Formats: sequence, C-alpha cells, structure tokens
Amino acid sequence: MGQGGEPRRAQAYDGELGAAVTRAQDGDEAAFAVAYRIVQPGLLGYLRGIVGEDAEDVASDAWLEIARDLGRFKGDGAGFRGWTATIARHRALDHLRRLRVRPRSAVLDQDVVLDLAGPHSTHDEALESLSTEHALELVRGLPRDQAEAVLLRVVVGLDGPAAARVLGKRPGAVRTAAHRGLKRLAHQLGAAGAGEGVTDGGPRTLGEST
Amino acid sequence: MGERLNDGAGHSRRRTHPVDAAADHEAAAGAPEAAAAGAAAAGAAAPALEALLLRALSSQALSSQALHAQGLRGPGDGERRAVAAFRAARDAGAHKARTRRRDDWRPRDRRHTVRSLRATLSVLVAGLTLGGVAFAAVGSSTDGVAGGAGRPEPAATTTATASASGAGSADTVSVSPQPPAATGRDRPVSAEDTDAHCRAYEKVVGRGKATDSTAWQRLVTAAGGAENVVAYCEAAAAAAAATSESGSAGGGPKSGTSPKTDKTAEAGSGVGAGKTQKAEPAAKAGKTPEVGQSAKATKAAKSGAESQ
Repeated sequence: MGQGGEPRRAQAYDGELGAAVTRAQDGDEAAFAVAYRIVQPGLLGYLRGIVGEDAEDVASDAWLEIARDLGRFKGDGAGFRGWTATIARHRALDHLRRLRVRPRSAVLDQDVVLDLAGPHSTHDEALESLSTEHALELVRGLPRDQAEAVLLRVVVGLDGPAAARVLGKRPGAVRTAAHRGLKRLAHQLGAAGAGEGVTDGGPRTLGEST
Repeated sequence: MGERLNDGAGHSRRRTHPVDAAADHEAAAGAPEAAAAGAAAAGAAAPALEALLLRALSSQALSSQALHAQGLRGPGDGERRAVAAFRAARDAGAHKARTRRRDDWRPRDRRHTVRSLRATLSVLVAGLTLGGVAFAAVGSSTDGVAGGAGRPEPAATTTATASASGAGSADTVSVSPQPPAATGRDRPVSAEDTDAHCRAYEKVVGRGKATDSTAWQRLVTAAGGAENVVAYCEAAAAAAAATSESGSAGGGPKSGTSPKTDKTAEAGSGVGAGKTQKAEPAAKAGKTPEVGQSAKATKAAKSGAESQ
C-alpha cells in the first residue's frame, strides 16, 4: 500500500514546502533554507543509495544547481521534490561516470564510510548508523532500477508518476521495479535480521507475513 | 506482500516524515536514551519495511538536522553553500530565466481530465458522423440493389444459360442480330424460360419443395396446372423446334445468295452509272474527255454484265 500512503504522507509537508519555494522564488533567502531542510534528508537518502559515501558531495553539487535554476521551476511542493530529485540524479550519474573513468579502491571507500560515521559517536547514533549501513548495503545490493525506484518512492516520498518522470520511465515499470525491490529487501531482511538487535522486530514479522 | 499486510499496524508510523522525525529528535534532544528508546519502539511497533528504510537511510541526515536545531553545530556546510549559491543567483538575476519543459512540474491531473473529456467528446462526435455516413451509404446501396441491379441478376444468368444451350439460335435469328451479351441483360423471352424450366422440371419434380418456388409456380400457372406441365412443355418444345427449323431454313439460302445479289446490285449500279454518263455526253456533245469517260463506263458496264 505504499502507493496509497505516500502522497498522503507527503501532503502535509508539501504545502509548507510549496509555500517556501514560492517565497524563495520571490527572493526570500530564509524560505530557501526552509525548503533545503525539508528536501535534503530524502534527497540525501536517495543519493546514498546510488553513490554511497559520496552522497554529501553530490548533494552539494545538486543544491548549487537547484539554487541557480530555482527561478525556472514551476510547480508545488510535490513537484519540487521531483524536480530536485531529477537534478540530484543527474549529478549522481555524472559522478558515477567520473568514478568509472577513475576508479577508487574498496578499502578507501571503507575508510571514508568509517570517517563519515565517526563524528556521531553517541550510543544511539552508533546504533542508527549501523542500521543505516545495513539498510544501505541491502538497497545497494538491489539491481539499479529497483534500488532507485524504492528510494524515490520510500525515501524521497514521490508518487508513482513523479518517480517515473525522474527516472525517465513509464509509471508501470517503476511501480513494478519498486514492488520487486521491496519484496527482495523483505526477503533479505527476513533471512539476515534474526540475530540483529535493532531490526529484530521488523524483519521477523516481515518474514512471517510473506 | 509483507508491508501490505502490516499496513494497518504501520499506518501511524507511515505518516511520519523526515521532518516529523526531526521534530521528535528535537523534542528528545536533551535525553539521548529517550531518543534511542523511541527509535527502538518505533522500529518494533512499525515493522513496515518502508518505514524502516526511511528511518535508516535518512537517520544520519536527521541527526545532523537535530544537532543543527540544537545549536551544537551551525548551519550545515551544504546548506550554507546552497543558500550562498541561491543568493548569488538571485543577485545575478538568474532566477528570471525561462522555464524549460523539464522544469515544469505542475500537476497535470486537471489538464488531463479536461483533455480526456474533450477527447471523449470528439471521439463520440466522430463516431456518430462516421456511423451516419456509413448508415446512409448502406441504405442507398440496398435501395439500388432492390431497385434494379440485384434482383434481375439470377434471371439474367438463367437467360444466358438458356440461350447458350441451344434454343438461342431461333431467338437470335428471329428477334435481333445483337450479340448475346447485350440480349442477356434484357428481360428474357418467356419461351427460353419455359424451355429451360421444362428440361429441368423432370429432374426437380418430386424433390421436396423445389417446385414451390416462384419460377416453377410460374411454369405451372402457365401450363394451367401441375398435371399439364408435361404436355405444355412438349408443346413448347415443338413450337421452339419449329421456329428454329424455319429460322435455319430461311437463313441457309440467304447466306448463300447474298454475295451474288450484292454483286448484281453493284453491277446494276455500274450499268446505271454508265447509262447516265452516256446520257450526259449525249446532252453535251463535242467534248472528247467526257466521251472517253463514257467509253470507260461502258466498258465497266460490259465487264459487269459478263461477270453476271
């Protein structure tokens, strides 16, 4: 029921987001900051799923472009999510293309991940970052189209048509990809989550219900 | 399927959002243990996979947001850079730029509804128009068939077979020298029908309801009763035979004599010409060329007489 739930979930914030974007387009700097704070978490989650630890850099690039082109944008809050996701995706694909030309070693990647997780070293954040890593690992283990569909639908909070427009595909294809991806994740969580403290409750139930 | 079944339980959790969660973090910012307990409780109470992913994948960003709200850190580097870029673009007038197609994310629902309504209407109108045209065309063509083209078709074929099967010689000779293709289109002479029906009648009679059809009924009526059909047919056949005999008897000698009579006619005209030309020089005496011509004419008249 993700299809039905997401638009409702996003609506409450999309109104606020739309108003902030409108004000920002009129030149209000603070409103732009509000829009940034509303959009950035989902965007970052999506980018983490695609480019991993480079998500912050890619998001920063994307926001430069968003800030520059904000005047061109037309639409409401939900539209702004989609528009920013499209820009972020293009930046992420550029980034991946650059990486393919000049690949880095896996060890270095590991170091960067640990460094990023380093600053937030209180107990709960350690747990959270652990589950984040786990979830990231799972999502990045999916085929690319499924991972992107799941992330756009679940993390960014786009509805089907908007996710399809971001990915440049047809809504049916995106819906199928998201469904398959979630199913696969549920299986993996059900198989791997038995001994894990944080995600213990969820995966077991998921495993039973499937 | 898992998240579907668990949707009822996970509904309240599903409605949460990064910002909502951020607010939770802000409220519980003073007590890290409480936040951890809240997160764990949320995880246990809402096992929906989507919620899990949402929480897991944006938790890091959320914690930094929470820290930012707490004032432990200034605005994030990313945010500061983004706002600076925004300010620069605004001051440079970049925000007056034209909207490209890919920048237009306005909802399309209403426009789509209007378009679909218009499409439905136009399809309806076009369908009615085409249907009317088709109906009219079909009606006129059936009228035409009923009027002249369709019905006589079988009769015409009957005529064609009848004339082809032998009785035609009498008919063509006696009625008209037109080619049979032309006669086939006209209403058939009843003699042919009768002849053909008579020949077929013996085979058809006694076979179910075939004799009830209009053509046979016409034959029976003409004969004056079913029992008279055979006699009527014999009489008709005899009459047809007599006609064809007389036709062939009249035609044979005619074809033999016609070349002769033609020649005679030509020779006669030649003689006549010679005579008239003779008479003319007699009227205009003294002119030699005309005399020569008249001599030639006499010669021709002579040769014509000889050949005769």
